[in-house]
Amino acid sequence: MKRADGRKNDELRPVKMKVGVLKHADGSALVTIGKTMALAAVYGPRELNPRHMQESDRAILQCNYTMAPFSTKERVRPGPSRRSVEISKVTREALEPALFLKDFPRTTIDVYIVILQANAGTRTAGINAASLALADAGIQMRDLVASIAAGKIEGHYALDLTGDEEETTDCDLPVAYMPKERKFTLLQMDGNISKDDLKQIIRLAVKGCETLYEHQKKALLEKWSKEGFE
Amino acid sequence: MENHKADELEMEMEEVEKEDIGTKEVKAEEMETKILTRDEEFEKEDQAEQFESSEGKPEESVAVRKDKQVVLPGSKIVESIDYLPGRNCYRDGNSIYSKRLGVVYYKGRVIDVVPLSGKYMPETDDMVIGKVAEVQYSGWIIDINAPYKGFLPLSGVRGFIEPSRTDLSKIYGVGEFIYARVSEVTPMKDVRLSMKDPSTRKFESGRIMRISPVKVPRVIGKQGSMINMIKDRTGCRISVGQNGTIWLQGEKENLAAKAIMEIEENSQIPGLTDHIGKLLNENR
Repeated sequence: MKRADGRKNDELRPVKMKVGVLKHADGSALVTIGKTMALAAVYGPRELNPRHMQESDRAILQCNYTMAPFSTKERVRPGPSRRSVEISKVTREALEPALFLKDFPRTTIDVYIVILQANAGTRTAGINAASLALADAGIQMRDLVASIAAGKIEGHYALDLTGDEEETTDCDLPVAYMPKERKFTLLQMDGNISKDDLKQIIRLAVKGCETLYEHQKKALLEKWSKEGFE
Repeated sequence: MENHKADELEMEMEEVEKEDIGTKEVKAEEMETKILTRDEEFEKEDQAEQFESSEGKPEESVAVRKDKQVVLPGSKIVESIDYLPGRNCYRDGNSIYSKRLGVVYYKGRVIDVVPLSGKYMPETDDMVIGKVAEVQYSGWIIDINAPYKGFLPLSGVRGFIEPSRTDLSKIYGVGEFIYARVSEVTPMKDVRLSMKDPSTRKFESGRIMRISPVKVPRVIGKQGSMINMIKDRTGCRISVGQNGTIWLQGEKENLAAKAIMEIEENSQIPGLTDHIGKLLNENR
């Protein structure tokens, strides 16, 4: 099945990942998947104020997802929207299981995701970037989190939908997955499909995640492997 | 062996087969029988692993990552029960994994992962340089450049102080820098400091600089070799805090600071001591 951009159904858009792009942040990463570009910055673990939000035995994770006004063809008004609040929440829930929060009681780990350019798959690109930024910041993690969306277009299952494809798809299914742990941390669906479709689309998304995981590892080693000294 | 988390959606992973994911009509019942349960699948995996390791000597451990290699969070370091997880790693089943981006060090049977980045986490007996953030009735709150602030109680200061008659800010005022020992870190990460040690002091003059705490061992060098070289060649007194804060004072403060920044930037090159030695000579 040929897609509009000539990709095969299980093919990702071109992927670029770079770690350590913001000097001020404790950790940062820029992830580009096709035309979608997500920048993530991590600050922490750091002191959490107000104190009543502190958890005495673990760190809390705070995520903020936002789209830059210039990220889409029609200007996005800056500031939180219902959609960005929801995505912030699911992003946090997608990253939390990967972190050893108990190692840093009473602190916060702040993750900021800014979408610089949007062409579908923004939340998944954001999760990939955030995961890299957390590792870059030296935060203890069980595994990296990889994320991609898959769907069903004209009867065929397709991986990594573009903005145009999102409009005609029967189903948009973003997934976040820890490949070494083999556990899902995000599973959302927008659409109407059968149970068999569901299983197949999830399988396809996992394959995509495993590929992105290799990209993530490569990006981290690119920045840090020269540090293995002596 | 492995903890099975109850997923909301019970999605079982199928065996790795190269299937054409197209418009094949798969009957629901067929799918069900093909799908293995998680337990069964892990059993199969274990059998495969056992087969692989028995290809060599069955007694030998499988070291996936060698000494001084860079590892990522979740990287498998070794597949063996002969090793113990040390710092920043954990055991899951038969294998030891890294919790963090860092470098693997095999220390006999213990595997440590030394982090390449990250905040300073205070530990008992560390010497740190902190800045007074607040003066309270029974002590001072000290910013030690960590996720947690330190507390220096009255009892941690040399000599006898009568709190009701003394203005504590005259002893240590807000904004002043002190060289203190971490006397205690509770499990809740309350950090207590002490100024009882003879080496502890308040800095009256000189300058303060900050480096990544991860680089502190490099700045100090083996048995202090690096820091002593810098002290000698620049005529400076230098105190290095484990938290990455450094104090210097002397003839050539700028040169000393430059050398330290150079170490931070190029900590990974071999022969770093000679490289810094050259830098110090060139700028006499």
